[in-house]
Amino acid sequence: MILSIIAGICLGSEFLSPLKIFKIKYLEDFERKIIFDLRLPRVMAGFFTGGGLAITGAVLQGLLKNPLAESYTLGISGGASLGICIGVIIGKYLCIPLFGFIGGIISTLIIVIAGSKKNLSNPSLILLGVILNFIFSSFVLFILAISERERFQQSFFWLIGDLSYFPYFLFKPAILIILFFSIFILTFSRQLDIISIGEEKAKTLGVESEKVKKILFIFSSIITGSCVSLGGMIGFVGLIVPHISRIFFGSAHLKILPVSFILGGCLLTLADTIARTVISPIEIPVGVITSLFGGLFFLFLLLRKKT
Amino acid sequence: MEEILKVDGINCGYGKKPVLKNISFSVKEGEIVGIIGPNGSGKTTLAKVISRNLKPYSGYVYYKGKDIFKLHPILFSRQIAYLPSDFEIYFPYSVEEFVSMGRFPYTGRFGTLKKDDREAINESLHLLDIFNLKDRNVQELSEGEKQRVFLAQVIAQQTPLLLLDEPVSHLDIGYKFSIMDLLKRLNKERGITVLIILHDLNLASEYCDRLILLHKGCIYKDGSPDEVLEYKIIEEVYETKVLVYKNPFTNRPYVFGIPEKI
Repeated sequence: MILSIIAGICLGSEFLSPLKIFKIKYLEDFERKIIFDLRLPRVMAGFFTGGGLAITGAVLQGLLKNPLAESYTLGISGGASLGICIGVIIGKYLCIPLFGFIGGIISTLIIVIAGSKKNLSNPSLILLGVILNFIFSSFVLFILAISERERFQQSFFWLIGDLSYFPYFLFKPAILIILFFSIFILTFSRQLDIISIGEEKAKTLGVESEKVKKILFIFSSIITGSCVSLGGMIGFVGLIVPHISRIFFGSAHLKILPVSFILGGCLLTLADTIARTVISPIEIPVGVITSLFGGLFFLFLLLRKKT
Repeated sequence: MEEILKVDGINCGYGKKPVLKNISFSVKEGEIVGIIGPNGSGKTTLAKVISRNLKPYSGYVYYKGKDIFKLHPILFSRQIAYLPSDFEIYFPYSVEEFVSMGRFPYTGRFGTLKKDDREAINESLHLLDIFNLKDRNVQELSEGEKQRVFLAQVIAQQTPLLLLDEPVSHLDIGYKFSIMDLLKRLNKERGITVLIILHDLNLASEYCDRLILLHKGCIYKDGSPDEVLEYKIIEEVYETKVLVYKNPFTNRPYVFGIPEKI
């Protein structure tokens, strides 16, 4: 974890030796600027976005008892990104994160309500999420298509998942929200264990599964909204990290949730460092890296299970 | 004997499709009551109502005189433990972790296990002969082993009433009898009341004090195994030819199926 953060600070189009960071006093002005104004916020944003996405992935997988659940596949990210896009068009920058949450919560509500009214099975919920994501994405693409030329690349990067353009004023509130709700979610970890073994059992073990489910869905969409406002639509982190955590730490959510958060944070920081340095000075969106490695990793898991 | 559970005029179903019609019966403390009936007669639906998983259209279920739908969830979970019939495990919990979830009614929010929780877990692992499996991944166990793990979780919950939906359906004859023996022992030694759904009529006959026969969503017959397992009743409800004899060893009724002559 520490290693990935140090790597994230040191590497970039301008290399700084790790030893130098610890001698902050003797740094030249421009180097200090790089560290505090550019690298550190970006590493922090990456860490909390990755952590937030991973913990929501773990929560949603437990709730829906489906290993494919995460905010990306359930359409929550899609809703949040549409909200943010609309926020950008309207041009009131302070409202952007708010629009993100609203978008995320609306798509969550669609899933929850459709799920309980139509009695959809959990796999169908995932399908519904994927469909929602497509619909939201088409709206987002439409908005991008009619937006100004010079902002196209920026917005397009953000859609794939990119940590280089997040508005600075969002940084602190988003990180605080992610941290606060993640800790809150932790207090539900035992109830999540019990829901994950079946709702029929949960009701006779003293867990009000309907209520807990709704609370956790809403917390997850709030965290997702913050993550999306920082890093755009970063896929696969929420899907894969909980799986890796389960391989090493079992299934109890009291362990899996914090482990996923830290692991997700490290993974995204690392992926972002790679994205910045691999064909430096050009930066590629971090979403490209996570999707590539995530996809490969998932393929590996799938093939390993078959044999 | 005091009445522990009273089902009073239950009508219920899924959506608008009614399944159970005007079901009323009561269970006394210390009884083993078997619920039998053909496929689709409403046995599992009845268990879902008593476990608070399904709200009836009308009617009440009382536990010691209290409406179960008005009990606090944690208090309810200390009274009735439920084993559903179809049970799938989606995550690789270890056997011990899985059984320990049965203690949630006592442990509080974070599931911190105290001494008596650990004792209850270990005891029920031993009772079901799965202590040696305690570190194994539940998903990788055989069907029979899984069923014993589920049952261990229910017994670790230490409730006065057990509601079991086909707890022995995946077990071989050896484990079938040892599990039923275990339930009988818990019933005799600790006074635990058992309400059990069984497919196997003869198993129901051997172990239950009373049988409730469901047919098309109604109670067709409620009485002792001798009264319920009469060949006329069974032939009508199950639409097949049978012969009922006594088990020479226990003197309980035993139902033989008769194949069609070809």
